[in-house]
Amino acid sequence: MKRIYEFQYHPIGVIFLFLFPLYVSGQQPNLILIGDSTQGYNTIKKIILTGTVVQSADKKPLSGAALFVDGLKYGNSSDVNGKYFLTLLPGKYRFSVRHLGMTPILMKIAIYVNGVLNFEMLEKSEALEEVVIRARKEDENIKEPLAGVTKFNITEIKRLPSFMGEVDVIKSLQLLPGINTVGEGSAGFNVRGGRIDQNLVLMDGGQLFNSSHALGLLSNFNPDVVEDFTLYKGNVPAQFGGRASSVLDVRTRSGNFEKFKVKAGVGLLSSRIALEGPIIKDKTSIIVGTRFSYSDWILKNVGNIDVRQSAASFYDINGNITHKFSDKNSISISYYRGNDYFRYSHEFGYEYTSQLLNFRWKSLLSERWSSTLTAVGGDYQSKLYDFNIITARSLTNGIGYYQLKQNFLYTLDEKHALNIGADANVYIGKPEVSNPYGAFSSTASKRVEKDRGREIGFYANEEFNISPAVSIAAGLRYSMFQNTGPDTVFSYKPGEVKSLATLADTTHYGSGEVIKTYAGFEPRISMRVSLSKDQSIKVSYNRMRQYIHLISNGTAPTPVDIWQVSNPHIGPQVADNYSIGFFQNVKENMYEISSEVFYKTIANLVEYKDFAQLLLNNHLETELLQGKGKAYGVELFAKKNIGAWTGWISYTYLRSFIKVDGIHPEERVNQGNWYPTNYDKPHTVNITANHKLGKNARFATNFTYSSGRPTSALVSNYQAGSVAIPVYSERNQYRIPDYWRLDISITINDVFKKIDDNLTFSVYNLLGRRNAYSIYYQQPAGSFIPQGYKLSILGSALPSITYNVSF
Amino acid sequence: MQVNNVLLFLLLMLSNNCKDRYQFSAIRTKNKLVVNGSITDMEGPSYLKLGTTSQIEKDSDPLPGAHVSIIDENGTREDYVDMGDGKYRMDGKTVKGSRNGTYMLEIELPDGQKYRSSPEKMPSPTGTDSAHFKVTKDKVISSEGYLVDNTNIAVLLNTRLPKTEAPAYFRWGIDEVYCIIPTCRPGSIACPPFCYIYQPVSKFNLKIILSSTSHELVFKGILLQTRAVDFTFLVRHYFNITQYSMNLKAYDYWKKAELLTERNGSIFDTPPTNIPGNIYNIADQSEQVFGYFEASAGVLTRVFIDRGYIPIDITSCDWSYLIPGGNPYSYCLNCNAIKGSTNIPPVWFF
Repeated sequence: MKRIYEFQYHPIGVIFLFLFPLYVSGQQPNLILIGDSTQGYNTIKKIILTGTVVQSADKKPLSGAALFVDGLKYGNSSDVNGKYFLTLLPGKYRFSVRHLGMTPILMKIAIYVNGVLNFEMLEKSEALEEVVIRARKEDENIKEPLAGVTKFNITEIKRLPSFMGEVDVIKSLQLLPGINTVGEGSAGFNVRGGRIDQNLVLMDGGQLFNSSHALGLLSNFNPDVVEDFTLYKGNVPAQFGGRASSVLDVRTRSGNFEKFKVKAGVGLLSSRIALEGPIIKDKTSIIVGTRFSYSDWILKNVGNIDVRQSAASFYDINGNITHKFSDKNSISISYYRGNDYFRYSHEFGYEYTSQLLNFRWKSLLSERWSSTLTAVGGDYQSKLYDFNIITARSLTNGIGYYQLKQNFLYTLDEKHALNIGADANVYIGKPEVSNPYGAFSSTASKRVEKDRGREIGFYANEEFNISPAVSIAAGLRYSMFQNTGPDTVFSYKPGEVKSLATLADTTHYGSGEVIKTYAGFEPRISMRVSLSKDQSIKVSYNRMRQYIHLISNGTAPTPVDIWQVSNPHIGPQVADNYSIGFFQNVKENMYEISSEVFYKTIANLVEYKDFAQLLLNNHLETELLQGKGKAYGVELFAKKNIGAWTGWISYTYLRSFIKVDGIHPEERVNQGNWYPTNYDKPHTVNITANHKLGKNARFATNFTYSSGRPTSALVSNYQAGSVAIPVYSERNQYRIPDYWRLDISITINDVFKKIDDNLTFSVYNLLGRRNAYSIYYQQPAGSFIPQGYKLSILGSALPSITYNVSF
Repeated sequence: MQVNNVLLFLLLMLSNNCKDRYQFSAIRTKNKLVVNGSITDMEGPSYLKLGTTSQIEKDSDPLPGAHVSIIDENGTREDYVDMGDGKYRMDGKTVKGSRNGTYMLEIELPDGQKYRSSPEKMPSPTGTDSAHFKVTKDKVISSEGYLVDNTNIAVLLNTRLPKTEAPAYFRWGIDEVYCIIPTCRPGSIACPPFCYIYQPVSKFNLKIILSSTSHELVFKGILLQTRAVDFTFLVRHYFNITQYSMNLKAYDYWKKAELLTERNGSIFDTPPTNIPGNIYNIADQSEQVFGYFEASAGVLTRVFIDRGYIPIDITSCDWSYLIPGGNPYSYCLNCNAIKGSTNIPPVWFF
């Protein structure tokens, strides 16, 4: 039966229409009438249809919902606030609203005046007739003006094979082209040949300085509280700044505004639980989620006494309170804390903790203007323990930061979306402090103060649909960084290698006093040209400036590395990123195909002298070098969105180089020639597939291959007394063996009747491939000749089982 | 700080870690000069070893035929004697190592290339050492794949380092001397002589300690070496422990050597690179030369273990122990074939 709504035209403003709920799955579409159909209407003058898309269960805005006008083959998608904007000629249309995991809304509308139409979407049960992998409007990959943008809904990654029973934000990103990692067990990820510190990792707008648990085996994003996430690896909107390669913008959920819900998962090594519900129904909601590990029981059962005396654990907790003052104003306060602890026997250990406190006020100022005010306080602290009796000590370092950001979004019509605003960040490097540990330690306490600074950015970013075929996203950001006191700055003899021997002067700066200022513009532009409704070409250029650097000189980044702001000796990294891509959809968006070519240059890339001593060094600049980097590559991607089998295949050819060519021999690496970075992996292939098994089960698999990363190899050795001294090649002249891995998982839904639950069996590294993490050399007992060894993190298949339930 | 093994730990956390032998293929290296030696204030000659880098998993190729001299701060010079096989000996007839003395090497290779070391000053402070041993047991996987008991000798050091005005740097080296009484076949006219074998201890973990400028340092029970019990403990087994007092440059060299030799593939490893030495080509200072010539004050401490302290059976070379018709142990029949063997007993051996 058709339901018809008629609304009187109001000449001054717009009419708000609320439909609860508006879904007609598999039924004849409703007809919605907006305006007075009995009066004549102007068929030339365009009218505006706008509104908000929310989730029916908890009234939370849905971003990325695709609104589509069938007859015109035209549409738009909702923004992060769930708001959408369409310009139409008066008339009747078939209209659809779709979002991953939601029951689609299909309807007919007759619209004659400007109007507001809000939608509440119902969550779709898992028993889909087909699996659909899509978090965005179905042709957004073609129409999106930004190049190199990947958006994921958490529902999507829950269909990928899990590691230790956990779906993971960063592991899912590593299946996409252009994103890789140094190896299993290393923190962070590399984007298009960039370093891990060149990725701005945001949780609800707040920076995370470490995104890993258990040295990168898991990320610190709890899937039960994550709403969605977007990775900008090509063109980065001007709203974001401070990093040279990419932005990972992770948004957590607000709690359910209508009823209390619980989600929980129990695994062999870790478990998690999330509670959510209304404090004041439809006004205030809360969500609290936590994960915690209990892997010690495995350690206690290992034969090795050292391992039995070891400990490893992590936990994280997310909390969010959101209050809606009205439909136009809401505030949310969220908190995150993640902690890892790790002890190896009585030898060493480490601990690191991340914290974020975030306040956000969203306000709809008018029909076209909206505002988001964000205030963030963040903190990262790591602690390295040495438990050896004589040298026992604890070494602490970290960084704190505060951010205030005001963003205004102006939506003139569906062709124009302008973001303008400003942000200010204060970075406070925490002192490195070494203290003796235990009664027998012979070490002395030591404290090294670290630098601090403030960064201010002003920006404007416009997305402009010039015509259906051409759209541009252009932005300009101006950033300024000041290294500030209190600090003691050393200067060295001009033209000489920085070392204690060339120390020339020492200057003391008071609190807040400006030591050094760096500033510059960061233009960003991306253009999309549609060749047909299914094909487009996108080109982009952006410049990004980075004033904070991760000082890390190990095989791979570690949680105890030092975050260092720019200072008179360490200039900002400045990256210029260029990319061009071709995008095509086939068979009504069933298949997506794309290829992108990118090129990147980076100035002031931080590199290290041989045997650099980075810890507790108040002359850190004497150990550092700065060079220039370049990266280039090709990304190929093919994805099947709909059908019994879905998934994608991606291939990346990527090269990443660095050149350190100082004036003096000590300031050169590899004689000043270009050499591969240690994350240069020329070939990467990922294949991901997902298949529905009957009514209640799902099978997922992925295969990944990548070239081995560069390393310096032992080329000879000599004996000095009882010690075999290795002789190595030039830096990064060889490669460890190639990496490949196959994972599978099977998820069975509705294990128990009347309960929304599932059981996931997964096997990580199904074929038990011993992938090399590193190649190293040791002098074996009874020999003076070092032998090479390949160290693998996983030596066999790793099965896991997790039971998940929600009610 | 001991932060090695971290990745191994993670592996064990997952209960299935692994380490496999690996060798890069197609490694190419150009022969480069390696110089290694020292002068100390201890009794006896000083030795120097010359070689060239060769290939992976092989010691440097010996370089005989060079003309090597040592020069002290007064310009006094003494030539090294070429012992063959890349080894050179300096008897200290005109240049004797003494504390606070400064020494420099000059090397002329057979191809005429000339090299020189930077002047090395011998420091003066030394500590007081004593050593003892302990029998330990652990379990190892045998070559047949069985878990078997293993008996070891742990060599432990006690040391007392004086308070110094400026930081002083100490390291310890260890070598072993043992005796083999070879098999005397029944009816032989004369039994073969005893062998005394001098060997550096392989798989030695460097021990480097800094002195304190505020107080005396006392360390007890520093584990210098753990060695599996084998036929070398048949008679008497000596460990010669030498304390070297180094200057800052030598300390820097050995500290870097320690960092490189303790690598185990973990994320905390020092990135592999080469240790700069103190030898340079006079004509081309950009040429890469490996090794170090060191002037250090030395203190020697000995500890020995007699067969009676070993709590397990070790098959003797006595004829009656040999399996009839079986293969007698080669070291029992011809102990002179063991590298470092001599039939002249050290004066301190018995």
